[in-house]
Amino acid sequence: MGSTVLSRALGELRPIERDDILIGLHAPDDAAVLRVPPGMAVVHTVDFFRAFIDDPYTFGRVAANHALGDVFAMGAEAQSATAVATVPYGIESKVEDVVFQMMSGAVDVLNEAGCALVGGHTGEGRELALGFAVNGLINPDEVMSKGGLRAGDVLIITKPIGTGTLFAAHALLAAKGRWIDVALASMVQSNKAAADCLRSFGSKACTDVTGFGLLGHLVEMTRPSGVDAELDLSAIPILPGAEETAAAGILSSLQPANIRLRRGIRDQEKWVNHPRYPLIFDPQTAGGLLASVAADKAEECVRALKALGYPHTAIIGRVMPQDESGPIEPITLTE
Amino acid sequence: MRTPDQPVLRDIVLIGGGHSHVGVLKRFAMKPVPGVRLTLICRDTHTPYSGMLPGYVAGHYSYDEVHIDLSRLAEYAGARFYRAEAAGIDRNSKRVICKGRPDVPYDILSINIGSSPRVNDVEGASEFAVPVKPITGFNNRWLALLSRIESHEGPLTIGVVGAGAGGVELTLAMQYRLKNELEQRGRDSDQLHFHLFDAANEILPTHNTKVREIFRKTLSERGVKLHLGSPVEKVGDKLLRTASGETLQADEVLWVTRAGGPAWLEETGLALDDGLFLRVRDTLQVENDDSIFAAGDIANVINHPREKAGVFAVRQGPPLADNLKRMALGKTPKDFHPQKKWLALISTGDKYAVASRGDMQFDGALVWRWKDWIDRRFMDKFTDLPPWKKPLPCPIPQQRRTQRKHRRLFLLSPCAAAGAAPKWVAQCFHGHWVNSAP
Repeated sequence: MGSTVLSRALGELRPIERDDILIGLHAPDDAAVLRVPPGMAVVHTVDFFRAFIDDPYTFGRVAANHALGDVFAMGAEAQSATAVATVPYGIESKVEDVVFQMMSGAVDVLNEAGCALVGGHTGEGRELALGFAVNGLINPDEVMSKGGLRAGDVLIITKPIGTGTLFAAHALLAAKGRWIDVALASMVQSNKAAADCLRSFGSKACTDVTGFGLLGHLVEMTRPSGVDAELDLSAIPILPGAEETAAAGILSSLQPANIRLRRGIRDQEKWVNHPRYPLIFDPQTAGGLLASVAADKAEECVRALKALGYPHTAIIGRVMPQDESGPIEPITLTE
Repeated sequence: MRTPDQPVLRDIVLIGGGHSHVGVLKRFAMKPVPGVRLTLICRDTHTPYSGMLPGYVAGHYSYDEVHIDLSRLAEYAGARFYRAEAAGIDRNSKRVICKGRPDVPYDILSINIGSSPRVNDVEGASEFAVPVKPITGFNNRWLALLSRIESHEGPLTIGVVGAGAGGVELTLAMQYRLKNELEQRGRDSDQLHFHLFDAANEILPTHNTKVREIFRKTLSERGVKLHLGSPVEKVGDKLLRTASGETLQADEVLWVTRAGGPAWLEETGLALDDGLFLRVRDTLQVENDDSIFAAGDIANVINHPREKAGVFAVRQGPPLADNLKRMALGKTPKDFHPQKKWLALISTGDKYAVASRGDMQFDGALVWRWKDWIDRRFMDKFTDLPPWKKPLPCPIPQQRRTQRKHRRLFLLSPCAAAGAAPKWVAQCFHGHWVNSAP
């Protein structure tokens, strides 16, 4: 893509400036230069996906929020981001506007998160796609890792699930517009305040629910933690419409890969016909946080999260000691 | 979403999801124009179909039966759907200014945003009265009223300001529904009081005397008190006063009077009439800007002034789509001449309707069924969308289209049975008639 198109599109953006960004977007150089405060460690993550809705501004917001999710799930502060995008071929003025709209959405979200956009790269491709490499700062002693689940803790999720099936249905004209509106509103909601809240309640294990689905991310947590978990299907918050679209057999193209994890479920055959069964494999975009909190603090933590603007927050299960036979079927479903 | 194979060369931006624009989206879905991209900007995802709203209020239809899903229709048409409220137009840079998102550039623009009752003209109306439009606001208030009567004790008084077809039809629909709701709960429906106000001396001023007679009689039978000949000049908290000094204690005041366009249109420099409606030419282009079109209530076609009625917005859809396409391809837009007389099917809430056209009228339960059939058929065009698969759906072959036309004519027989003069019944089917509700 021509440098003039890119510089015009990016020139109108107003990313925040931070003292620890020594060289950023508005002093362009070969690369950005960041300072890491003494005692802090760097959290580094990358995400990239193609547009799933025909609205570059909203897509930009979702993509940025999705990328920030990893940083917040670690318990870190977001510091800086670099963007990578592919944009469909076209005449300059049209391409420029798509880049501008998409990056405006991204910068709105990054700014709100206190994260400075420091650079990026754009190429041409058949489909619109956007991703970010995000840097975060963290005190190494306060990391909320996936391996921190402890038997006796309860499992909390902060946002409803179902984006995978809903957007698959949207593309097939099988989703109601208001379902998509609610899903998008959920997808642009930041996980920042939720992560801060969970940390203040002493959570030692947290992850953002994304492409592997709820079950996939839960298994990612039980394995390194050396524990089992019980998941209450009826307690899981579900986006409006997701049960209908899943029941109609409309599922994300990533679903089959996630379903391989069914082997981790105890008495799995018993649950396959449960209406919510497909949804635990549903890949999420910019999903909420899945975290563990000590049982005696859980109710209060849920109340605090609801008050912070995560009204669908729910206790969806509990952490149990690992079965004597080992981590073969770590997940037990209930309803 | 689908990524087009052809790069985008022209952007057609549609502001508002009115009856004309849904027609434009459907037309472009059936016949996509390579290189032309449509973007729909609308505040609401579900756009109400005005013809069926009274039936929804009366309880005959569900929310989804009377709303067109714009998100889904846009997806079907390969159009971008931006759920946002337009707040202005920068004609120098050819951009639509939106609330809460970046400006949207256009090559060709079309405006079909309807109109809202002018609550600012009367003291207290903006604060204490409920305008019937935007429908979202009215619907929320209506649902709140329905849930409130669960626990409401004693009399319930509702004042409706505006006794045109819209106001009369809405009043009768509300009366029917609330009476039913109360009776279902074993409560006394005589506690329900309706009052209908208008500055004019006559109800339904654009309809013939026989139609007015039917509605005067119906309103009287249903206990709706008429207050004509004096404008409402003040609305207070649960209070309403007319210029002649009459006052009414009302639990709800609904505003269904003369409508106007949004204030931001004034700042665009576009040609407006006294009511803040856009002055448009026969091509539906705004008088002083070739690249901006307008249709529906917001447009005042200078050479062919018509009542603000959904039927005209619907009928402007196809010529608007054609002219947008012609402009995008560098051709000259064509003139469109609307009909002089139109058919209105006005319901009375109880699955009964009155047909009115020029100086003719007839009424009955069969007219309601006929109206219901026409309305559902209209909605089906925007909801029964065959799921598209790549490649794009081809335009219907010529041969099949002809067959369809014949089938349509064949289907006219039930209407002839309703006693209609066949000639104008045929017109109504070809034009996808709707009634003249607000």
